[in-house]
Parts: sequence; structure tokens; C-alpha cells
Amino acid sequence: MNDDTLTELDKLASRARRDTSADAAILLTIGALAVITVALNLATSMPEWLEPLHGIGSWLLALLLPLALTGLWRFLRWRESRRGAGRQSRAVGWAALWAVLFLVFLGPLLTYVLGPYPVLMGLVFLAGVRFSSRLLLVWGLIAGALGLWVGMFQFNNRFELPVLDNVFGVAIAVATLVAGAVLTVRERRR
Amino acid sequence: VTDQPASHFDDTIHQRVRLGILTLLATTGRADFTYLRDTLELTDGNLGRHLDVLSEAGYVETTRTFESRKPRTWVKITKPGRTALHRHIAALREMIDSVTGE
Repeated sequence: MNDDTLTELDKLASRARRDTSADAAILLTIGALAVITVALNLATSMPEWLEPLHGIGSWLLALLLPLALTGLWRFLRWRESRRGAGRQSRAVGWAALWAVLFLVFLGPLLTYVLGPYPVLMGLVFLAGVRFSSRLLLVWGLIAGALGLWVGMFQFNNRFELPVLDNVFGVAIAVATLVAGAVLTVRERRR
Repeated sequence: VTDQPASHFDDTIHQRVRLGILTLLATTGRADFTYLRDTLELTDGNLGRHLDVLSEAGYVETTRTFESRKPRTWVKITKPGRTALHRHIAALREMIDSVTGE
């Protein structure tokens, strides 16, 4: 037993982390949802004839999110079964079920008032805790805090559409989607 | 003598392969027999023997399932297994530090 043993163990642990990482799938799913929500909210805020539909993205998110989370859970279970390695899927399933229940009841109200980020990035943060992923933890915290700030601003000036708020809002959504895509490509190359 | 880092070594997991198995399981949560065998580059018999030792010590739990009528063995690390692994690695690090004088 020597220093090489610990290095070897570190290598094994990082390989196992790579094989079971859910970062790419989570960021891709949440990024796609954020882009759809923000795009719809933005589109319905601009032309007058779409004003009755204002905030429809947030309501649609309430429908899409449970579906997306269920899809994500099924995907992670399928991958766990195919690779032969993964966290206990039953625990992940229960966590997903509680998240879905929470979102179905509180999500629409929260997202309509404060925008999609407190809920979406809250989920990214929770996933970071569950999967012990530093990337998801940091992403959830920073993007969540920025998104909350943008949401608060838009709540106060909801119908004035300040340009900077929307730029931030779109940037967070696009950056999350791009990060997910980049990680997916990197995972496939390995 | 009891204050020596080596006195905290766990004989069951001190063996290189068993240390590897527990490290993999501590990271993945659970893994199947094939994943462990391929990642650690072992033979079926060799891995089976090491898993028996870990199972007898209560450090891992094995579950046999059938998927598409094919048997599959899943291995999961237990709480005592995780604790023993952390303790053992801490003792290893302590010993290396004392030798290298860090």
C-alpha cells in the first residue's frame, strides 16, 4: 500500500462518477424547459394581440415540467440498467415524485410571479445535492440567484419589459441548454 | 500501538481488489456484477470470491434479479461498508503523510 493505491482509488472513483453522472441530462432538460418558457413569455409580452396570453410560458411549464422530470427519471433508470451502475433508482424515483407533486401545486403560481428560474434552478440545485455534483450545485445557485433577481425585477415592472431583464433571462436559459449540450457531447466522446 | 495509523486498517478491505470494489460502490451506490468485473479487470471467479468476503463482513449486499429471463446480480454497499471504507482510507492517508513527513 502506498501513494499509488490512493491515486488508483481516485481514478476508480472518478471513472464511476463519469459513468453515473447525470449532469448533462439534467442541464439539457432544464435548459430546454427554460428556453421554451422564456421564449413564450417574451413573445406574448411584445405584440399587443398576444397580450391576453401573457405569462403562458409559466403555465405551460407547469404542464411540461412533470412530463420532463418523468422522462428524465425514465432515462436515468434505463441508462443505469444498461451500464450496470447507478444510484438506487427507487430513492431517485421518490425524490422525483415529491418534486413533481410540489411543482404541480406550487409551480404555476411561483413561476407566474417570479419567472421560471426559482423552480428550475431549485431543481438543478436539489439534483446537485442528490448526485453530489459540484457543477449542478454551483449552476443551480448562481443561475437561480440571477434568475430570481431578474424575476423580481420583471414582477415589479411586469408590463414595461425592460430590455436588460430579458437579456439576462434569455442568457440563463440559453447558457443552461448549451452547457447541457456540451456535456452531452463530451460524455459521448469518452 | 493502538495510536498507530496501521491499527485502524481493516483487514477485510485492506486487500487491493476489495478496496477497489468498495470505492466503486461508494461512488455509484450500486453496480452489477459485470460492471465491477469489467472495470476492475477481474475474472468471474475472482470477483465472486471477493464479494463473498465483503458480504460475510456485512459491507455489501447482493441482490439477484431476472431481466429478460437472464439472471443479473446487483451489488450495493451497506452503511457499515461505507463507514469502514472511509475509516480505512483516512488511516491510509495518515500513514502516507507520516511516512512522507507532511
